[in-house]
Amino acid sequence: MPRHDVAMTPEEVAAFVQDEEGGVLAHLDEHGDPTAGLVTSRGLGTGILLAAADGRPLPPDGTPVCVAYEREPSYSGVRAALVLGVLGGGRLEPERTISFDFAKIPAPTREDDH
Amino acid sequence: MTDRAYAILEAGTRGFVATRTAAGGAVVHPISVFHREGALWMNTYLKSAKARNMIRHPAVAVVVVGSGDGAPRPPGVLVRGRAELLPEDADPPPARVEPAYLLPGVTAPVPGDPIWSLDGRRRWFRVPLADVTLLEDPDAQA
Repeated sequence: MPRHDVAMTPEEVAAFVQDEEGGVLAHLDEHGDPTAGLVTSRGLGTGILLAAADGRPLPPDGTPVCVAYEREPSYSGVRAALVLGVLGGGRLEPERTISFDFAKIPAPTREDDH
Repeated sequence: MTDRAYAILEAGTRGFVATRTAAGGAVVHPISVFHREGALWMNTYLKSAKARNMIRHPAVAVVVVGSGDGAPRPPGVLVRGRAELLPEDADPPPARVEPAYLLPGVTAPVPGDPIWSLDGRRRWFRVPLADVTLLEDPDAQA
């Protein structure tokens, strides 16, 4: 089974993330274990403005975080972007992104189901 | 666990698993999750980044939301615990209640279904529901 490049281009990632209204934010707690919560998101210039959506505070400024954005009209159409950076004043300037767009996989892809 | 959190876990299969990377940071990936008998079950390729992270550092955080297409939003549930890598022949127990939402193209796991194994390349991870937090929109709580 050949592997397919399902990553979005930097332009696709930027447009995708700017359009999203919310995601899941993860960071490490004081013990070095991951924790996560729901956030609202708004594109702001080259960055992203985040706010807690679940009544819990955002982690302190200077915390390295990862925010996952996802759209899933179907399994074969899942699009997701993981944005990594350091939080400051509720703002995240992306330092690195990981992305995938399953629609870039040529059909049929039965082996990749699930 | 509150009845509301339990109901969200019963109905929702849209999950996000946060893991610790080899470099010592946090990363969060979308994943389908299934609530069965006091635990969340997740299936993924052993070679995937999230699987390798969970094997190296089993402490995880899983956010489960009930909504389908669109941005993940409250209400949801945060489960924190240790992910257990299950043997190759492990299957989740049958569902007590079928989930209300399944990603189109994904079927709920049935014991013995080989699609979830792919000759051992995919495996199940199980996270017991030891630490459960309801995630609600604060405006909805007012």
